[in-house]
Amino acid sequence: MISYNFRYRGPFEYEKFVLNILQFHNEMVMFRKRLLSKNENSKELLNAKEDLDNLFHETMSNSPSEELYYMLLTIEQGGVTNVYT
Amino acid sequence: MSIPKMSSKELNNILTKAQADFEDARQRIELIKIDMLEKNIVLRNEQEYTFHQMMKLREMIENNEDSNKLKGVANKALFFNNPTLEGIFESYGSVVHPRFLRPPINVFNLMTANGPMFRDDVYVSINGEKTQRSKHILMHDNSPAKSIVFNEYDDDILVLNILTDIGYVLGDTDFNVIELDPYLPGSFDIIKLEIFTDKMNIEQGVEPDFEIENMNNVGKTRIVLDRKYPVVEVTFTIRLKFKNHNGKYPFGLKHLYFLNADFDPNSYVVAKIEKNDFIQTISDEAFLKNQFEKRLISLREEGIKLYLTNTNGVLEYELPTSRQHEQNELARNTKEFYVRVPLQSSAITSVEFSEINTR
Repeated sequence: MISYNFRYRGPFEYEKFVLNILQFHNEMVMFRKRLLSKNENSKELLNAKEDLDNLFHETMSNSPSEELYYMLLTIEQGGVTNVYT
Repeated sequence: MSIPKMSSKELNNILTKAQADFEDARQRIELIKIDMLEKNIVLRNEQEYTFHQMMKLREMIENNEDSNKLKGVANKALFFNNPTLEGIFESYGSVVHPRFLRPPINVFNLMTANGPMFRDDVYVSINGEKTQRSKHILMHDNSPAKSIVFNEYDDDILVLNILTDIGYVLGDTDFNVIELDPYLPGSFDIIKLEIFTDKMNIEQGVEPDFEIENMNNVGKTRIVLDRKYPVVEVTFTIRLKFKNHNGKYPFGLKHLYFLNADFDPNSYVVAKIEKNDFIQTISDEAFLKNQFEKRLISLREEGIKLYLTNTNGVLEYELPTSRQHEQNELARNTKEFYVRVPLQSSAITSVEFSEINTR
């Protein structure tokens, strides 16, 4: 919390007030740029999200549980093609 | 030259913009957080389910160590996950079915030059709860707006209901194929699938127009129906079988498509059967397992034929089958043969010969 003493320090306090607004705006722009834009050199939120998305799609498109499901189904059905008995 | 001073209005605008930016960033971060959490839940359950499946597999191997069950019964040809199959067919998940004459129409997703466009005139409810999010289950996988529909449930019985008003749905509303792709294949049974084509019937409690029961261990599959039905109401009653470490039942579908497909009537599938010993006779009786049932058939009556050789897709030297009073012995050096199954209007999983006698 910033307190301003306009009554006794008038113009200086007003400048401080203006600078704080501008500083807040700049911080916000920098924050968005840093966190919510894709940057090859940084590992910020969007890059981390992209990594997780890729991992998710790789896992789900060829999921180990699906492979195991077919193996179990094959055994349960009691038949394997091209296997000698 | 002095630096121009900003008016209070200009300062106020800067402050308002910064506040709006902050709110926008907060919302975006929140969405990313929710998305990451959801993916995390799916991955965690997938991992736990995989471990559960591995334990089941291990148990099966240990229990059947001395028998030949794991080596398979060579009297059977499986049509899923089998890259050696030949013929004119479509393979999807655990079934093969007749080939599509043309790409099927996805009833709820219009394919446009800019990608799939979802037709929103539908209600999807899970356990009676209608949400906008549940509709994403019907959305095309390539749709950018699609999100994950996956949840952990307290009860093992789940009712998934799809309800449309065909008066308001534009374009094609008929379907004859249901395509399912679950996140955890084999973790649930479909106790009942009901299709209603008339709203009046639903209100009056009349029997559904199509009903199937007890599809066990459902994985990635297509359910091929006997004819085309308009999408009015479809209800899946599902039993969830996998309980995670939280004591909850996870369930989710990557997609659920209703397809309007036309099939090639000349479709067939060819599988190879091999034996260690020379084959003497092959019975005419067999069990054909489709997506709904396993039934005893006569190979001759079903038009299923056996051949000795397959040269680049050309089947030659048809083999005779044997009946009780009609034994047809094969040539002495036959150890393998090809079975050609015509595909009419259903999806099949396997064909099992009642008897293959060896010398």
